[in-house]
Amino acid sequence: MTATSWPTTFPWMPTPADAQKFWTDLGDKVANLPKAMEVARRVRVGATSTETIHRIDKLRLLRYVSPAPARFDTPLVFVFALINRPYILDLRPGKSVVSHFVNHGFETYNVDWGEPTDGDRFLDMEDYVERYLDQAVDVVRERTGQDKISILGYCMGGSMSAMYTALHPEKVKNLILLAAPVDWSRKDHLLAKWTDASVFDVDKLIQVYGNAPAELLQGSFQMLKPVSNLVEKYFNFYENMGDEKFLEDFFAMETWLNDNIPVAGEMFRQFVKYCMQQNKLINGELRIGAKLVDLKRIVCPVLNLTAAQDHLVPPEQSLPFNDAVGSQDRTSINFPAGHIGLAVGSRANRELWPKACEWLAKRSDPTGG
Amino acid sequence: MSYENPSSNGGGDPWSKMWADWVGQFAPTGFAPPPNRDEASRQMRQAFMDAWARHCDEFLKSEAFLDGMKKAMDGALAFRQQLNEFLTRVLHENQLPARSDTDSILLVLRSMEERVLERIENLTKRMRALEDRAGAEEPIGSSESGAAAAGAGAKRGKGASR
Repeated sequence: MTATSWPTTFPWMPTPADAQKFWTDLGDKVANLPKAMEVARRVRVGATSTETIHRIDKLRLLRYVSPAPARFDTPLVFVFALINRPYILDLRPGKSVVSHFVNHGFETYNVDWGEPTDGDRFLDMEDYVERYLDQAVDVVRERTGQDKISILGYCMGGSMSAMYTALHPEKVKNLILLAAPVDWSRKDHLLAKWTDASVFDVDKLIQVYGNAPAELLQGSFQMLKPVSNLVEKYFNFYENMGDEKFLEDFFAMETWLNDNIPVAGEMFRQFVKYCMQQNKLINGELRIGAKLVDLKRIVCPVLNLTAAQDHLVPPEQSLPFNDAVGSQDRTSINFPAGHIGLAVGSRANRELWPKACEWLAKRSDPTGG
Repeated sequence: MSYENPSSNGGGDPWSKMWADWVGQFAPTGFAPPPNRDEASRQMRQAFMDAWARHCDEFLKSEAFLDGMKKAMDGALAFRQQLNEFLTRVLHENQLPARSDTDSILLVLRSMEERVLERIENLTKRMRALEDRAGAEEPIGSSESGAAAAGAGAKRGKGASR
């Protein structure tokens, strides 16, 4: 029987030619390993230069420096989650949300919360929202001479931005939420099931560990999509080992994914307990310090960006925000991407972010205007 | 390992169901010879991964897994707590501070900080009230910015701005 007659009977049975090709491919990949290692060593994250303009404890307020001419007076502040580092928003050239806004002429800032240590375990929601974020916003207002700023909050940073805007509507001109959870009433997706009060005793975890351990958070996030994160990803890597561009993107992404930080214990406890388990934010029952967070106080224009295939924050957790706020100008875009793809995906960078820039441009004060 | 999942339809163990799903995806093709073997094998792999991912998702949501996860976590936390207590005892026996001691100090500091901030806030309010009452054109401490700075100072005091 010749090799060509095999497929008609057993389409998936490898022929001798296939076996030979497999071994040749494997040899090529092995030969490519040193090159891949070299790319892994030299890959850099961060597409836009930054300068630190203010520090509060471990928080750094970063300003993006760009030769692009300023076109708007209203500054934009990015607020990232407390989990992982904020440079995902500016990962690499062509995969940077920040560069869209910077090149559009926005004065752009980013809040880098820093890495909490054991001594930060008692930092709570009031510290992060009312103290750190408020001070960062005040610094930007003072520096730019503007009464109001625009905020873009990503994931948990989006929830915190929503809380902040509700508490200080007089300081926020526009609010953009990017895959930001606000409504945890639906319990049918994996993370909601894992964090349910009947399964997850967050009080005990924080009592024992102090801060929420980075390894626990990373392990949990990986296990939300185990096949994709632990198997498929490496198949893709193997198949594309010869593609330098792929390797650069892959290692930049891996750098970010493995750059985990713990979350301050009390903050984590309050967020999981009051928001994820008791759903107080959308129900208007959340208190930060003595103040009640009333989302109806948000009257600025709101752009709510969700990812249709988001396994961490499904759109159903974000979209109710638009009905909960007092704003008349509310827009939502449900983009076909995943949670991270919304920020670094090629399609999102091609189609979504130019639109978001336009949306913000229409609602920001032009320079000298 | 067996588990019951209310969302899974039909009987049989999940492993067999996963294989049945995977093979089922090829059944409609009638096992026709693929025009491009690389592409065909990629598609087969993808179908397998999709079926695997779906079943992982079902398993990770199942009562059996959630129950196991809770027990494992409770056990791990109990062990860690015992370890913490043991280490605290060892450190205290050796006249050394343990984490619980630094926690107490941190809590005392935070409570002091809150009391001080509360006082500053009250003073700021009183100062504003005095300014209003005085009705002077140039209020105490050079205008509104003085009060604003005091307010900002109160907030920053907690954060020890550097």
